[in-house]
Amino acid sequence: MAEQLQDHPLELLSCLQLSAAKALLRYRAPSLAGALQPGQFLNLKIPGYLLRRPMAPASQEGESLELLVFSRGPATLELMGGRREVMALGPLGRPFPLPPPGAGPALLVSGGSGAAPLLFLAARLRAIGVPVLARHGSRDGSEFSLAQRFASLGCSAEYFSEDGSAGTQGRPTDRLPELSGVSCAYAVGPRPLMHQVASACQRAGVPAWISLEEPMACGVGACLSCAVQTAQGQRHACVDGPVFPAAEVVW
Amino acid sequence: MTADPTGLEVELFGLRFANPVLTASGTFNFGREYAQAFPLRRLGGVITKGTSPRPRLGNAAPRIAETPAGLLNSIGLENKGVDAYLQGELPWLREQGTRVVVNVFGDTPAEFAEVAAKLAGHADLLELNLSCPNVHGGSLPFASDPAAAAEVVARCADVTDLPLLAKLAPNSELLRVAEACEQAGASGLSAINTLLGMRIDLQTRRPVLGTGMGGLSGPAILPLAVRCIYQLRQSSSLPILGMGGVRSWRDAAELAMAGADLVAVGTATFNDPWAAPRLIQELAEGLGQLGLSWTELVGAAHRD
Repeated sequence: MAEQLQDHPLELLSCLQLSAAKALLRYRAPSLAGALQPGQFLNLKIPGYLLRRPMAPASQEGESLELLVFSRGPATLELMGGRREVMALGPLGRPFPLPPPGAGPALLVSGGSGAAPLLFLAARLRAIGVPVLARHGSRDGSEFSLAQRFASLGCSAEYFSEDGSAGTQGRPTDRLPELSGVSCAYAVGPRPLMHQVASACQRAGVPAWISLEEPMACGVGACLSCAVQTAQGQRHACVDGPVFPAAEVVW
Repeated sequence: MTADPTGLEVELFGLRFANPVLTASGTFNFGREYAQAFPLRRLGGVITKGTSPRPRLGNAAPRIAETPAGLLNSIGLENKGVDAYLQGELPWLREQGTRVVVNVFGDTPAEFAEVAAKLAGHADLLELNLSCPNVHGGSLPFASDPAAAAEVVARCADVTDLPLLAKLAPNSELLRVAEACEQAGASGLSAINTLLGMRIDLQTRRPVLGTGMGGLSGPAILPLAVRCIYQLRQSSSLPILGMGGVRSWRDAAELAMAGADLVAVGTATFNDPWAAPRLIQELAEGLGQLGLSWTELVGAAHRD
């Protein structure tokens, strides 16, 4: 069998701090150029930490890619603190399926760090001429610039904050737009968010995809940590996902 | 006898191992995933995921949690059952040019034997998983009871000619269970399995793992492995397959000096998929600098 699994060096180019605990990091990753598809992830090796950290990139253009890092502990703080180089195993997992070029509008709903794979997806959808309705939400106003990013990619973007400090007060799943005009939907974020989008799409007969985040160790299907339940039986988020058809997930 | 320029070859159980480094059960599945990273023939062997007579779904999620110097896991022996592996993974693994050790698990001695009986021609060795802490509520019905462990070994020895390794828990019964397994016909000992631990989420105030407890592996348990292997070597003449927190060639050499004839790399693979082949390369260089072969290291801590 050909050896396809590789560790790629990521070299930090710039850091856009969104808040004390959230940052968009841009890396140079020449060996990954053109290799990533939206929804796939990299398993990042951070010196001093035994487990790698799986992250789905927020963009890839030529030799550069972006990671949206939300600090969940010292390892992710280490990344945000400007560690110059990290190793990334990948690309791993299955990407989001794309609608045919010129399809009707796609609905993208994200919460928190779930914006990362959907930003990458939005860029791809716009590139094939698919209009995008993007909704992003957070507890507060700290992620408003992510909604601006969706807008700068040519999406019709709306921001929701639970505390009302920016955009519309509420959640991105509140008053979802009329789904009859939508060709497909994608949701990434907390489980209730994805579940709500999945249910609405199922009622409307709109195909939808979500991305499941489960604690994982290897990222390649060997350790069997990231078991998820689907209509097809038990699957593993790292190799069978992380992207799954929303209708197949056992919520 | 051919010359061994690497100094790493090991002859045990009537088998030649190209080097003494295997990959530990549960960290390497049946090898196919990591065959995408390097040729498995570079390994001394692959120890498969625990294999039961029928499919097991495993434990509730979340199944893993990081710890300050290790990893807690509660996979719960998820596997497709021995028949599925006889069809798919094992014939493939046998063609990869490395030794194949199948880790065998059952809920009863009869179930262990049911799996063992099917593996002739599909494995070089069987590792009997007497000590998984993630099933039976962590009670270790075999690894905490010499008579029960001996029954598993004896029932398996009745149905297969393959060499049997008894995989032991680092508990107070270690030496008594080892002795009972030896008397029941075990060809070797495998030590150590993980130890039960727990982490609690500060926000939810509940255990992080779906089952509450999970087996601790990784660098934190290296000294425990060294101690257990040292004690086993003092009390038994059976070959020992040592594992527990091995990351570097020095860790492997330490287990060898304690008494391990072979070693396995486990959790380190999650951090670095190339951990085992890298360790083998560094071991060859390290031994070369010392002017020693692997077999000269084995048990060195017990000699004057």
